[in-house]
Amino acid sequence: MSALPTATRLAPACPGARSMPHPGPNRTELRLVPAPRRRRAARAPFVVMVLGLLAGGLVGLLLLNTVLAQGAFTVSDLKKRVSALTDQEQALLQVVAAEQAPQKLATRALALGMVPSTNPAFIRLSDGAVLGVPAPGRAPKVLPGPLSLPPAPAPTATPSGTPRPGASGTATATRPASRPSPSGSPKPTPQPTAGTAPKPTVSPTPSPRSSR
Amino acid sequence: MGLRLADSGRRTRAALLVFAFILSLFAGRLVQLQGIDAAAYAADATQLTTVALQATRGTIRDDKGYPLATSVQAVNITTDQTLVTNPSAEAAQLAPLVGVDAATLTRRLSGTARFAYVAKLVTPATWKKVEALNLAGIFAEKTSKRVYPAGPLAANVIGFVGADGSGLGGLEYQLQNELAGRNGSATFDSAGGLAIPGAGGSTTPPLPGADVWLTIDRDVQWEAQQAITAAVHSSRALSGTVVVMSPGTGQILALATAPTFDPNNPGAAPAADRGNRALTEAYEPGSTGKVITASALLSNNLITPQTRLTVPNRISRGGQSFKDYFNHGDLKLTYAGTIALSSNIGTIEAADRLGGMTRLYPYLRAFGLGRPLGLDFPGANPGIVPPPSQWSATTGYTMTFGQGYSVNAVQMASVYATIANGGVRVSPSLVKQTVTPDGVVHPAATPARTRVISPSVAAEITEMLEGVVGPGGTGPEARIAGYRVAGKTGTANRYDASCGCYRGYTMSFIGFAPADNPQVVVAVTLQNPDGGGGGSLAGPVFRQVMQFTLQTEQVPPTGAAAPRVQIFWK
Repeated sequence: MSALPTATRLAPACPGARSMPHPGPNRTELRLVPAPRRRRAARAPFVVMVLGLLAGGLVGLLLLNTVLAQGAFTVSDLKKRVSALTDQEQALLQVVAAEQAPQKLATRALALGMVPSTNPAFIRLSDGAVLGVPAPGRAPKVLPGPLSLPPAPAPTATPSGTPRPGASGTATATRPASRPSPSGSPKPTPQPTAGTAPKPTVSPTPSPRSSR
Repeated sequence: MGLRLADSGRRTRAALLVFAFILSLFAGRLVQLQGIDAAAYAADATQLTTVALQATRGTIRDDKGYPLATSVQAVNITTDQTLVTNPSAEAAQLAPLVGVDAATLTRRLSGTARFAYVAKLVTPATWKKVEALNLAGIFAEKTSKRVYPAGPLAANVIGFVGADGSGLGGLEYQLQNELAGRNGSATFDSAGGLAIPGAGGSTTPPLPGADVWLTIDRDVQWEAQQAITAAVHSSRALSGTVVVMSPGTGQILALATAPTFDPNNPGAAPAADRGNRALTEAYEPGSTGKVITASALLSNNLITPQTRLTVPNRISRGGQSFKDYFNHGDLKLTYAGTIALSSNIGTIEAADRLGGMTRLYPYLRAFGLGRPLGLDFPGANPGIVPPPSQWSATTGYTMTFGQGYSVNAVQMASVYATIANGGVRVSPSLVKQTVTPDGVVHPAATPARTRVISPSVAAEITEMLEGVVGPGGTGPEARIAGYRVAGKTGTANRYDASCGCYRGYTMSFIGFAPADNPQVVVAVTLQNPDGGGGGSLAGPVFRQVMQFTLQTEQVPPTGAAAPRVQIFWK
């Protein structure tokens, strides 16, 4: 509490003390010192550097763009190749699928002189016992015919120019969009044809009945 | 109090405020452009190209994974007719490539339509050649084509697709959702058809359809189709079906119908041949239904296979006279003998012991007749088993020998599969599993199993059925050397919807082997063949398909001797 009054008492004394310097015997004389000559940095290298940076950036950007664009072309080319190879793969897979169809295998086997085995028989490897009654195979009277294959799904590795636009049940090329489905496609909704069973209420039984 | 700009602190704060305000405007605009309105601007941009990415339709495979229906890429060639300057010249160039005659092409290229199809579903290779011609106003539309590499093999099970590639029949229709997948799209900035690098874009990848694996074995299916096609042809039947089932699992190994069709060109076949008759056609089973009567009798301990019956030439029930397929004097038949000789009169006499034919009805239902199989096959016909309240005076009696109710071929195969499986009915199934594009295998739901008859009753019926194939029975044609075969012939009066009367016959043979360890059930049905009987016409088909299936499934004979079934008594 007593510190505050002390400070206020001292305050007026200080400015007075500053405004009246006491020239003392030890005081050094003040002299004007000439300003040191400022050395200016050379301007040219800086400009060259900035321009260089600018040019470098520009060229870099250009290169980057070019590389990117080049990449886009490469991607596009590779995509084309991929699609071409995919087409080829698909065509080959189709050929394989058609070749491994059972009817095809049967026809080929018969052509090689093989015959279907008639009666199933097995050899038990543990004791060599014959299970079943083996019978010699016979060439079938009718060659596998009833199930004719569709004309092989054309595409060979280099598909010929005869596509089959009708495959997959779509309208053939002669009727592009007019007939979206084969005429009279089966109604997919289940509809029990009641007609196939006699009306339960009426006696359906003609007399006399036979059944064996 | 005015703003004192001389005050440096205030000045800084004011500048900061202005900058912050302006920057927040920028930020707000940025959010508006990039966040809120981005889609609208993207859509407005004229250089944006959007292409549809077609989902690949799933493959349908047989039980070993061989493809039965698969999708390949194809191209629809389209035209903007207003850009075509010389239709006939372009047509002449196109004709040899797309395989359509020039006159038709000229017509398609002439006109003022901005969009028209020139040729549909050509191979991508063909399109490349067309593209190389650099013709004006000719464009491509990428699409896919459904291919059935094995042609008519299992066609009536798989079905077919329409012009838009969606299923129109069979499993292609039933499983449309699983097979189709979901189309995607890609949107990008483009210049001259090339995507501008770094310009961004958005892609919704297509979701390919799932692969569906069937329980069908393509080799067995082929043999069954071969056999039934030949039999229908040689007997001049209206149609025929073969069902091959595995009794323990209910899996259908083959479902053949004849005549069939080529799903690569379904339009060429009549609609009736594109369905699956084994599921969509109901018929009266005839004598193959006698096993249900036997089940009712044996389950209630009312009879044994050895029970002695005296069978007259005619029998009168419900004001009507019934006969057998052959005339005979009084026959002294065991109950097993009435099955082996397929005597209707003997069956009625035996069924009299039920004390009311209505007791047959629960067994018909328990074997799964008169209700859906649960396959959900499009157009499936569950047949009709009239409840006793709708019976006439004779219905109950005709039902004892399989007339007066209708079934489909798979239902009937399932009845014999139930007996073969020791009396436990396993719901038939056609789909083994689906495999989603991520490679996850989803097996089909476990089929329902219900006990219909006891194992001992099933064994007794099986023994009686061996008598059918054995000496003196009606089905010697179904014998397979070395194997014990159990089965039943059926020659039923066929209900003809066109006249509302009975006309012609349904011949069938249903059986299983080996009888003492059944692995395979084969059901053969021929509708309205010329002459013969169930044994002589359907029996050989049964034998051929059964022999092949036993080999394919590698089922060796058990080596046990067949029981001697006593047919007559003295």
